[in-house]
Amino acid sequence: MNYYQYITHGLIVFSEIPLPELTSIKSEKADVLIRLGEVQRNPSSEKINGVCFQFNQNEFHLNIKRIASFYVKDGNEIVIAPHTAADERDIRLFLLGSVFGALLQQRNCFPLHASTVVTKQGALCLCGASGSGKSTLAVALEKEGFPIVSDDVTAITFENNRPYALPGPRRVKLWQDTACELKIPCSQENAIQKEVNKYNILIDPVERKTELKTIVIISTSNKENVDVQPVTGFEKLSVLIENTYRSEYLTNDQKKTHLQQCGLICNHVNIHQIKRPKTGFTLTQQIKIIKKLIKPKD
Amino acid sequence: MIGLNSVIQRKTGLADTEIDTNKVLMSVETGKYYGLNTLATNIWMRIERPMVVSDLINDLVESFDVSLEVAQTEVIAFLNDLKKNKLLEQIS
Repeated sequence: MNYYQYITHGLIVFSEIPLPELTSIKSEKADVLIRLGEVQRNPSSEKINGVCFQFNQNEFHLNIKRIASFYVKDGNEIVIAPHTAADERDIRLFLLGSVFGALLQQRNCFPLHASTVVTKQGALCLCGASGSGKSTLAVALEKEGFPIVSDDVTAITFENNRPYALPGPRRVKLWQDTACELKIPCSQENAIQKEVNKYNILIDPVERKTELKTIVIISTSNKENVDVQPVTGFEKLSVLIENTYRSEYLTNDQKKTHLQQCGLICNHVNIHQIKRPKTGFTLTQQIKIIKKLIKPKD
Repeated sequence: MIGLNSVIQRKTGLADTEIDTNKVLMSVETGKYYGLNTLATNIWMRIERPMVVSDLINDLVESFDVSLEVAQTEVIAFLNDLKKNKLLEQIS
């Protein structure tokens, strides 16, 4: 069988379906196999949020109405059962999002809900709730000469107890108005879903993993100006737990590894919180603050 | 309830990590996180093996500038809280 071959989050992926959001490579061996097939439901599985099922730490099942059922096993296999008439873009949206999140967790890889760029001081992760502007800021920083590592989800791996950010898919998801503001053209064929005003913007992600040095949490406030504060002590741990992608999928056993990884990240990186006004375009101010944060101290 | 004559020990199989030299614990049973301040971390380091509560308190009174009365009240309250959060085992 001929598979499409890609690399993402540091993993070589062989897929039965094309995944244009990922970077193509040629390889003899795969870390992850994605195939089409039947997905069985396990009656003993635990239900999360009504749609996902965690069998145990090695098996995961997700059923999305009218789109597909997904099954993830041992961190190296994904089976997709598309529902009839499902749009391929919808399938890929869930595959590259939640399903890959569960896969990374099975591999004890830390999925941080962050868009990440590279600076001279190492990787800088931008976290924040949906709509806080992490993708927008990442694209704006790329225009300032900081290449993008990953958008939305950044896989963190550990070597000698140091955290590294791994390059993700070669796209950034942007809302139409922000794309316009950043003067990036969008066309309907790049819409992430049918009739959704959010677009895949193709990028050139960095090729290598980068040591993680800084995390910035973006949130909105009622104040008029952009404000920045360092995050310290146990608060650092809280923000890491809060910003773990799909943390609700973690089994209690996976939480053990996750907690140790949180500790390693806390002791290795600086965490800052940027509060921006809810309305208005404050990108220039945010970029200025970030440049100041990553400036080496004399 | 844990009292002066109780024998206590850390629960096994807990998840833990250190943030700026302070311990954070998680019980796999509850899935909840529990942060220890510097003094609590110090106590936690002392109860890896079974220990009589009054011995623990005497050791602490010797190491820290604290009266026996205050140490008894506060340490016993702390140990009971650890037990409630399934982080500590009362052996007897």
